[in-house]
Amino acid sequence: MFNIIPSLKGSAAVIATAAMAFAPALASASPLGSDPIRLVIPFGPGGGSDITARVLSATAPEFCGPRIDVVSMSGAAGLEAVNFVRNAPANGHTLLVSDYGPVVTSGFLDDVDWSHDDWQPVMNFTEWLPTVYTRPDHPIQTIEDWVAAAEADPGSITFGHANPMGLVHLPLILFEMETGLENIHVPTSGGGETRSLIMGGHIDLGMTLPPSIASEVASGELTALGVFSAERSPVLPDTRTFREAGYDVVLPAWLMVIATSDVPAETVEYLQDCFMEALASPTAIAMSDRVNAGIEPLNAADSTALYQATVASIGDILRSMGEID
Amino acid sequence: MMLEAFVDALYLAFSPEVILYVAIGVFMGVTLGAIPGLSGDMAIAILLPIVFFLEPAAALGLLTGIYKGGMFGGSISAISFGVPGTPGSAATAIDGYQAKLKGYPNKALNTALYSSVIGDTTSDFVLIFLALPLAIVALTFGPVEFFALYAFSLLLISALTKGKVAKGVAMAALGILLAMIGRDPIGGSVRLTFGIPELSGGLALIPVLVGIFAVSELIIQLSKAWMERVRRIVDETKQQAQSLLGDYDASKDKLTFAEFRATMKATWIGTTMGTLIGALPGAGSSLAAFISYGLAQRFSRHPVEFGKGSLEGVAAAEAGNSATSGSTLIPLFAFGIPGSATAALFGAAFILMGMTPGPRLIYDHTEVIYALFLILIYANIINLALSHFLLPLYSKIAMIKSRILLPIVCVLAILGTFAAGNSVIDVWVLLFAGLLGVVLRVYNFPLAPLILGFIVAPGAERALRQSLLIGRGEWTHLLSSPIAIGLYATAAIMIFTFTVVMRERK
Amino acid sequence: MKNIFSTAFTRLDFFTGLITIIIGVVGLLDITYGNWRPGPGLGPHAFPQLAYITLIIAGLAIWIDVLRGKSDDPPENLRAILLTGVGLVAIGMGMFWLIGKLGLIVSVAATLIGASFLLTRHPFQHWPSTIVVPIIATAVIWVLFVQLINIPLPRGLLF
Repeated sequence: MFNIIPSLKGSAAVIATAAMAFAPALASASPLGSDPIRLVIPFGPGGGSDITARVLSATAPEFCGPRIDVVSMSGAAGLEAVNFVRNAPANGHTLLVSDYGPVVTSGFLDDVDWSHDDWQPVMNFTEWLPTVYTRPDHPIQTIEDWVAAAEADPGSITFGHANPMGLVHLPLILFEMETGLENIHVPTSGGGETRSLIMGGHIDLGMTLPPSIASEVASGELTALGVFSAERSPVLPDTRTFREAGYDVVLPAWLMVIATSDVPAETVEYLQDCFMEALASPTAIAMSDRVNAGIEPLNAADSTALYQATVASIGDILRSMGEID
Repeated sequence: MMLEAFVDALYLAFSPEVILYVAIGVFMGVTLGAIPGLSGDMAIAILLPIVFFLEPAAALGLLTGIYKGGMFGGSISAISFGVPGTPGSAATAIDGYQAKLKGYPNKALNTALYSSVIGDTTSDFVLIFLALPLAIVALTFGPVEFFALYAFSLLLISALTKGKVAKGVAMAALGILLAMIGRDPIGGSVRLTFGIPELSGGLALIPVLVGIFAVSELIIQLSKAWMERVRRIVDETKQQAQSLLGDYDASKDKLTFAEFRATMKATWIGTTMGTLIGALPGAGSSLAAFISYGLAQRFSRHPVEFGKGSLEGVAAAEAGNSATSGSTLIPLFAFGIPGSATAALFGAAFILMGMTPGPRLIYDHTEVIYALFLILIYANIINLALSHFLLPLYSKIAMIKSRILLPIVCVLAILGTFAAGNSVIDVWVLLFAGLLGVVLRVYNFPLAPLILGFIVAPGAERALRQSLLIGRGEWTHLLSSPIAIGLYATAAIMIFTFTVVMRERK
Repeated sequence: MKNIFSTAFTRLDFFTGLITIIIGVVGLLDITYGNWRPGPGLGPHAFPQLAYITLIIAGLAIWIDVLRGKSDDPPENLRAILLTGVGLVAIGMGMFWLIGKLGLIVSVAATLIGASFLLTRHPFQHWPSTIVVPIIATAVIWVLFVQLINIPLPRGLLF
């Protein structure tokens, strides 16, 4: 429905029309045809990945040529999206936008017919930093409070997190393996449920990603205990990292544009260039700020290094948990 | 300051451009909602990028219009073909389609429209004036309370069994089993997938619901069309007259004021339950519709009519479904918690416009939010007016000969279900659920309990197991909340009084 | 009473009850001997187990209804309805497969025209409804799903 937009009134339509007019000139130099690019996300619409991908789809056509659609495929816990991209022609028109869950973790745990080497990152949008939080009137307000309470009465603190083995659960497992602490893990249906259980006083702690709690933390309606990352989160500047508190647990989650490894190198390079260029444009920066996406793009080479490091570290965690051998 | 913002909001909300977008949205919502599988949610998801290109008020107007139109649109196909267009309208199909078969589709459609608009408008007023108190109540619902609510709603199954209690209970169990397919929400292990990896994500609601209710109905109607063709029982002239509507007398099919008034009690039951359940994060509009339907039957003066074309049944289900529309935004506005798929999409729309959902929203963007409130209210009036105009038009479509129309509805259901989740597996699930629905129908199993079981089971399982985890395995933890105890007590009283009352009536 | 017992086995609902019970028993056997991983808070098998037990109880209740003389009659045209069902599933899957091969317009038009020819006695006499209406419907479907929604269907050879 994106293509009806130029017919609508409004100043932005002019930009869109200009982009359309500009497109053919660029398309001749590109290895891409005029068919639309599909950014497939393995999650339902409306979440963080969707919103971030839409910043790219709104700005990149001007730089890449064809129109870009965001397609949400949450079927089979995201595996359907992964398979759709894998089975599509390897021409760079069908790309996956995903965190490490559906690609790296599923590649280890699920019965899939691909390996981690069958994918190549095109670029990385951002690094999401898993954050532990609670309500402000809860006795636990710092990392030290948490550790002390968990040591005093092991297995007494209830900890809410979205889908088991996901990116807001693995850091907790890693933290427990590092410290030997025990908590009661309460899986929830998603970030919304975790948050209502915390605010309603039903559970003690929860894990989420910074953009979704940043404004509440700033206004004092929620407390962020700590972040599982090497550096502090730019949107939560006053929240310490677990490393600062003396626990070397770092497990950030990236959001990458990923292609299958049989997409030609020049196509991937072209996509990387035009995506990076688009995200560096003033429009994209303004949009990213507006939606709190914290986009700091990485090129294909850096993303690949990050991807391989994640494959190694997730593999280690799952091995020491006994999930894989 | 407040007044100034309100006047600004008036200008924003009632600018001709915004009104036009609301009307376009309602039209799109009603039309898409009427197509099985497609719903307002899906249209909103597709149109989400439009917020980059439109003024906030216009974009919110368009999305609101789609949402409200879609809420009602689902009941058009539910009543006309017995094919619910959206998950929320499944309960509407039970009595709506029976009413149509009895020769008064128009009465049912108008009842659905009025109850839908009444429920929706009330719910919007609750959102505007009671959001915070209701949101605080909603927060007191933790796993313990949710489990009590789900247990309570399973009790209402008997209202859906059409007198076949044993078969109804069997269907509820089957619905629970279908909902268990896929990944265990607590432990993460995969179960009941029969070795098919594509099933590890579980069965989605839309294909199961449209398949069980709609595709099975289409199959039965198609087989009738096929029999007429093969056996030549019906002579040519009679077959010409035989449309989906049968012997239809339009003059007798007008909703009278007395009939409208008779449905008011059911409408208010639906409105209350829909508003309350809509405000609970995660409960959903189809559950609200079924609970409203069950309660309305319990409190009706003509409970026997339910399932046989009762206008009260249509009113309760449709009011219950539509009354979630305003209140589902309450957790989003009060705490930034998206309580439903729709609320998540509205939340995303706010974020894309640079507005963070949550309690600060109304202070930081007063004019836009006031304008949204105004749009929420007047979109109902546009919905009412436009649907009044569209209903006769869509009823004409329902008059097309079934042998031509049925294949088109089938193709729409298949493509619509695919489009709802962009999933090929959903299409297979749809077709096989249709086949299952046919088998169950021909052996006289009531289908509504199956759907209720399917809707309730995932939440009930999660809530129970979360409760036991939090309560360290103590079952007494389930009775640790006054709300939960209240719900169980109400259930016990209801069972007691109704068994006594039912006996006396006999 | 004896009479009811002797005819009970011929009643339709004796068999529906039997199938209900069999599903429940097989399910319980699967939970006892199958490959179920333990999980936190009751484990993943608890709810399915409850459902299977409910199925068995419901099946027994259906039998009791049969003994009381309550049984639904076998449906008319059973075979025709089931055949239509299987046919629709086959046609639906076939259409979806065809979309991948030939494209949406050709597949949908062929399906719709084919279906109306199957269901109409003198299809060529009624050409406005058997050919024109399906083509219009295909056009509307194409505009809605391909032009406006742009669903990610596999691309076909033709249109």
